[in-house]
Amino acid sequence: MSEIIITLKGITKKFGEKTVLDNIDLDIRKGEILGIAGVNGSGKTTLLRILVGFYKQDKGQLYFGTTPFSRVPDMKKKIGIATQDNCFYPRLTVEENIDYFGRIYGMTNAQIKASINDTLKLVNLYDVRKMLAKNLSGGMQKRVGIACSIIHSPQVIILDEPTSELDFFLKKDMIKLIKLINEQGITILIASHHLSELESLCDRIAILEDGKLVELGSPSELKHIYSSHTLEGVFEKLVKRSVS
Amino acid sequence: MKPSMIKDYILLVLHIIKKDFKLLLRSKSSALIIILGPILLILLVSFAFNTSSIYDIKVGVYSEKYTPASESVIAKLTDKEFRVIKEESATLCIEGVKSGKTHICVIIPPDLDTTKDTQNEITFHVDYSRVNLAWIILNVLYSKVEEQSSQWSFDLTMEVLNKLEETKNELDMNYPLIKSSVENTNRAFSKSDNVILALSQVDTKYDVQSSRFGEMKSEINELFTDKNLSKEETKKVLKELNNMEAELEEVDARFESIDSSLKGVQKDLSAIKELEVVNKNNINSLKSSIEKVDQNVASLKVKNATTIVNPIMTSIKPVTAQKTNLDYIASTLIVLMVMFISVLLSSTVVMADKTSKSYFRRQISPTSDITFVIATYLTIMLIMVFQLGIILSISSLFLSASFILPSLLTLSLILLVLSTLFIFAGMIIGCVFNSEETSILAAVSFSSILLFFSNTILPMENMPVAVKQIALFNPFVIGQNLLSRLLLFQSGLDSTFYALIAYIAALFLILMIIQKHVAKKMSG
Repeated sequence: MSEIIITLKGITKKFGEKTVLDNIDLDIRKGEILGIAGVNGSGKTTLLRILVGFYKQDKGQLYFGTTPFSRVPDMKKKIGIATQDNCFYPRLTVEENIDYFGRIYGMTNAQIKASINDTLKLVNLYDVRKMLAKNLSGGMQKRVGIACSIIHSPQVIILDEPTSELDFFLKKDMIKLIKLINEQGITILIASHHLSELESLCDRIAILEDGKLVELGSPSELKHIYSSHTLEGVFEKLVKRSVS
Repeated sequence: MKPSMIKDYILLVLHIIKKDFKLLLRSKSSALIIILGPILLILLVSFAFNTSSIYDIKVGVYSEKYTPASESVIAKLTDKEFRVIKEESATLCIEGVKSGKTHICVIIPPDLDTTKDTQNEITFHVDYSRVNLAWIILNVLYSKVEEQSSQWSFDLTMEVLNKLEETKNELDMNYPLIKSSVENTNRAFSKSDNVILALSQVDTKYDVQSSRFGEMKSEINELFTDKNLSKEETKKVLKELNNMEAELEEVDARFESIDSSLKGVQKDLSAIKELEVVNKNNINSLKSSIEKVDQNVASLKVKNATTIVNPIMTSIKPVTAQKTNLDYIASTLIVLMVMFISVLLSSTVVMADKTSKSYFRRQISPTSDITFVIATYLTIMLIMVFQLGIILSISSLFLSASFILPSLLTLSLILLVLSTLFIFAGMIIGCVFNSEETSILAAVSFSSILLFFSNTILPMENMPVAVKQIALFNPFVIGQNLLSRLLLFQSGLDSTFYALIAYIAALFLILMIIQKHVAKKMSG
């Protein structure tokens, strides 16, 4: 069995009276690509934001390995995130953005120098590194976001809807990139409602519904349990079950 | 903390500042405001205020009838500062002030004439709603009319003094005559006495009847009888004697007439003497009057027309050398600029960062909030230093703003402290509000409140005492006072400077608390 890198135990989050996440228990395995699926408002983004420390859970505990997040030195450096809306400065060049976010993640001059070109090459942005981010195409901008999230060499990266608003070819490029990053030993969490992409990418998929973790397993396991050929079919059955 | 860690921290702050500058300068409008803003501002200010005069003041003038005197008043007003517009009627003149066509209306009486003994009243109609200007115009215009009025007073007084002097000279010149008249009168008086006395002693009494003519005739008859003289010879002698007697009687009659005349003369002389007494008395009282007039004129201590017209000379001596308006308002302008730029820029930068998509990544990064606060502060401070550098350099080099160089060090220190204070205030505003619009509105409102409760629009002495006491703690007022004392009198720092430091400490604390609160609110 693979080593557990992050454990979520009883994570509950409320915004006012509304429970957005309800007692989530989840293990994230080292080196895996874990998909988090769910309809809009199911709590995917909230869960990801709790993992990066932007939101604080009301109940439950997060563990990095076996150590609670709060006790892990430089915990924030261990996770990177690329959000749906591009989280970088449009008026900085690709290189400047990556450099800046590397620095605020505690990287030294030498560390940045050593890794920036590799990162640019990894995300295939080396040739456009001097261009302002706002002048790049949508696909390239997504890759700038990913580059900013991996520059400080995190052990886990979280991708929130990485293929949204991308055309077929760009989606294909993005999937390739995610696999490339994962091949470097980085654990990846992907939140998406494009189930076909998750199926082709993820080792396991966690399905959230109304803030609850309703299913967790590999795509084949889920398809087997719900006797469906596709993950969309699994999802439809889950929705029907919850309605009934 | 290890030195390498401090170095890394400084490098990190520098990189954040570098990023902020790149973002600001890559936005064309921001770059233009940062670079051209202060140049434009100082050019406008220098054009507007680098003078000690007021310009293009329109003065409405109305008089039913323009006399030479009223024309001379108008001529006095017509110089480079004033443009005189003759109005058709008093109502139009006053309406002109109300509508803003003219700044002041001067109504001159139709019979303005300084050569006649009339009251000449010139009326000013002022619009006090133009608070500062009203007093300036009124003061300048009043002094112009006062100048003309003083000239007239001087001329009239000179005329009076000249006449008085002429009178005194005439009196002085004729005084010996009066004196001699008195003496002559006295002499005439005594002579009259003598004449009266002499006349009274003249004996005009002669009685022919009681004369010895009868006796003489008897003796002659006896003689003729004794000497046997012929009768005819006797008769002849007697006839002669009779003739003589007749002559004597005539003489006697004349003596009587003379006596009677002498009595008349004596009477007249007595009357003359009485008149002389009256004359003497009159001349004596005239003499003493002249002496008194002369004494009074001589006793006038002030005979200088200027002194009589203006017995108290007021001279206004500025405690500083004559300077331009720019020198006087420099402190207010600098603090105003520092306040508005610092507050608006810092609130905008904080708000722009807060509302940008990258704020999320910043929030989840291991870099602490205080680092971002320090970096933002330093970014804005560098912009302030750049802008103030441009403004002070241009002022110093091209506008002969003599106040800058002698106190550059203290000036820099005050500006640094003031900028820090207003930057922190702006950052707090940026943190508290959620949209750029409300943040800008709050920044402008905050700056405006500080501006209103200062000496800039109205003197603070116009405020109720309690409000004034509070307004004295207004950082804008403190900064303004510190700068004006420094720039005009080269005074050093005083205890109010430390109040600014205390404000900075308090604002920094508030900023950190709010920053924490905002982060907590964001994290749900």
